[in-house]
Amino acid sequence: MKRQISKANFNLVSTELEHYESNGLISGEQKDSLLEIYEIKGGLNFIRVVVTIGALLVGLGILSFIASNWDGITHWVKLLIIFGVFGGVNLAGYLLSDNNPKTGRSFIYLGTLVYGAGIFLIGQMYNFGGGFPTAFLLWSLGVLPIAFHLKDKYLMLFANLLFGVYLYGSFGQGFPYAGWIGVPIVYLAYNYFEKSRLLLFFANLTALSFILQITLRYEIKGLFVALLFFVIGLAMYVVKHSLEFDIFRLQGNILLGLTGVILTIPDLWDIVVSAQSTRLVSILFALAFVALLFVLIRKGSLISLIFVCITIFRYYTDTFAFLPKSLFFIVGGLLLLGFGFYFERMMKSSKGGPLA
Amino acid sequence: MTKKKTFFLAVAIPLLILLAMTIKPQATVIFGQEIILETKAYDPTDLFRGDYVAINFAISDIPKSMVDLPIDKVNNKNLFVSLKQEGKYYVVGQVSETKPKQGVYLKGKFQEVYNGINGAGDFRVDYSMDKYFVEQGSGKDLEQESFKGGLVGTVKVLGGYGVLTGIALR
Repeated sequence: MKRQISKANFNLVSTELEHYESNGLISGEQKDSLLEIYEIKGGLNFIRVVVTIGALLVGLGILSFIASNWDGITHWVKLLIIFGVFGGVNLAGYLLSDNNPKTGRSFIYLGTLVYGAGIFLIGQMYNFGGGFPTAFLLWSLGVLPIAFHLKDKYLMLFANLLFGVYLYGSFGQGFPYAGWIGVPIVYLAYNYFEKSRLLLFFANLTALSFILQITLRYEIKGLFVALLFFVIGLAMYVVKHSLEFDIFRLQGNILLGLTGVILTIPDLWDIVVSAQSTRLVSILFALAFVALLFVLIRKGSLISLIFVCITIFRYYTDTFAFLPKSLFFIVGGLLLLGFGFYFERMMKSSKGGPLA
Repeated sequence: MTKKKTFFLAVAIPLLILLAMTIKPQATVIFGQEIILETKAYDPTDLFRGDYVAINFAISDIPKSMVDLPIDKVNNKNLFVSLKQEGKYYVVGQVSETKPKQGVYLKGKFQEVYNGINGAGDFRVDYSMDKYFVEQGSGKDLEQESFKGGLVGTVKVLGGYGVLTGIALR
C-alpha cells in the first residue's frame, strides 16, 4: 500500500527530489521510483461535504418542524411520519451504499436526526416536564448501533457529543447514572474505531465531565473540586504513556491552566483557612502556579504562556485592594525578569533550550 | 450475522426506543384516572420541543407542616403525595414514603425552599409535569389568561405517574 501524504507535502517532496536530481545526487529513475511510494491523501471531498450539509439541513428542518408543534396534523400522525421517514432514509442509505456511498452515508446521517426529532415529538405528546436530559441519552443510545455497524467515527463523535449534553443537562435534575456505562463505551469506541485521535479527545472530555458530575453529586466543596481537576490536569500533562500522549498533554495543560486560574480566587480557600488569610493563601498559590507555568513554558508549552497572561489579567481587573495587587505584580515581575535572565543565559550556552 | 442483518438491527433499535418511550405515558393516558388541578402558567420556549406553557401546580408547593418526616428523608427524595378531591379540584392529602394502597397519588421529588417571610419554608415538589407544549405563538394567550384568573390542568394518573393532558381556563 502506498504511503498517503497531503497534496502540499507531496509537492514539497517532489520539488526537493527534483532539486536532488538537478544536483546529480540521484538519477531520474530514482526520483520517479521514490515518488512512486507516495499517494496524495483524499482530503475533504467536495461531494461528501455537499451531501452531508444537505442531510444536516433537512434534519434540522425536521427537528424545527417538530418544535413548531403545528397542530394541522395530530401527534400520532407526526409520529407515523417520523417512523416512515426514518425507515425510508435508512433504506435509501442502505441501497445507495454500493453505488453512491457518499450520498448513501448522508442519508444515514439524516436518519439519526430524524430519530432525534421523534424523541422530542414524544416529549411534546406527553408534556414531559423538567429539562429532559434523558432525550439526549436516548438519542445517543440510538445513534450508537449504526455508528458501530458502519464504523463511522463521525457518527460515534455525534453520539459522544449527545452523551455530553446529557451529562451537562442532568445538572440539578438528578445524577446521570448512565455515565458509569457511557464513559467506558466512549473509550471502547476509541479502540474499536481504529484509534481515532478525534474520538479519544472527546472521550477524555466526556470522562472529565462525568468526574465533575460525581463531585457535584457528593456536594464536594469548590476548592477540592478545583484542586482535584488541577491534579488530574497535571497528571495528564506529565504521566507518560503510549496512548496518544500529545492529546493528553494538550488537554492536561488546558485543564491545569483553567483550574489553576480558578484556584487564585481567594473565597474558595475559606474552608481550609480563616477568612482573613484567604487572600494570602490564594496569592501564595498564584505565585506557585505561575512558577509552575514558567517551568512548563521552559519545556515548550506555549499554552502555559496564555494562562500566565490570564492570571496577570485576572489580578489586574479583580481587585481595588492595591497592596496585595502590588505585591503580586512586583513578585511576578521579578520572577519574569529572573526567568528571562535565566533563559538568555541558557540560549548563550552551547546547548540552548526549546525556546532558543 | 450478515452485514445486512446487523444493519437492519442497528436501524430497528432507535425505532424500538421511540416505541418504548410511548408505552408508560400512553398507558397512563388510556387507563389512568383523570384529575383536575389548579395552576398558573407563563410562556417560554424549548430549543427542540418548541413553545410551551410553564405550569406551576398548586400541589407543587407543600407546607412543611403537612410532612411529618425528618428533613433528611424528604429533601431531594422521591416521595408519594396522596391527593384528595375538594370540590372540583384535587389537593394535597398527605405525604408518605411508601406507595399508598388506595386513592389517587403522585410520585414527586421534594426540594426544600426557604420562605423569606416567616422563615418556616415549604417543599417544592417536582412531578415532571411542569410543561405543556403548544403550537408556536399560541402560548402568549394562555399566559395572558393565566394572569387574569388562573388555569386548570387536566392530568391522567396511573400508579403515581402523571401525564398532563390539557390545560384550560378556570
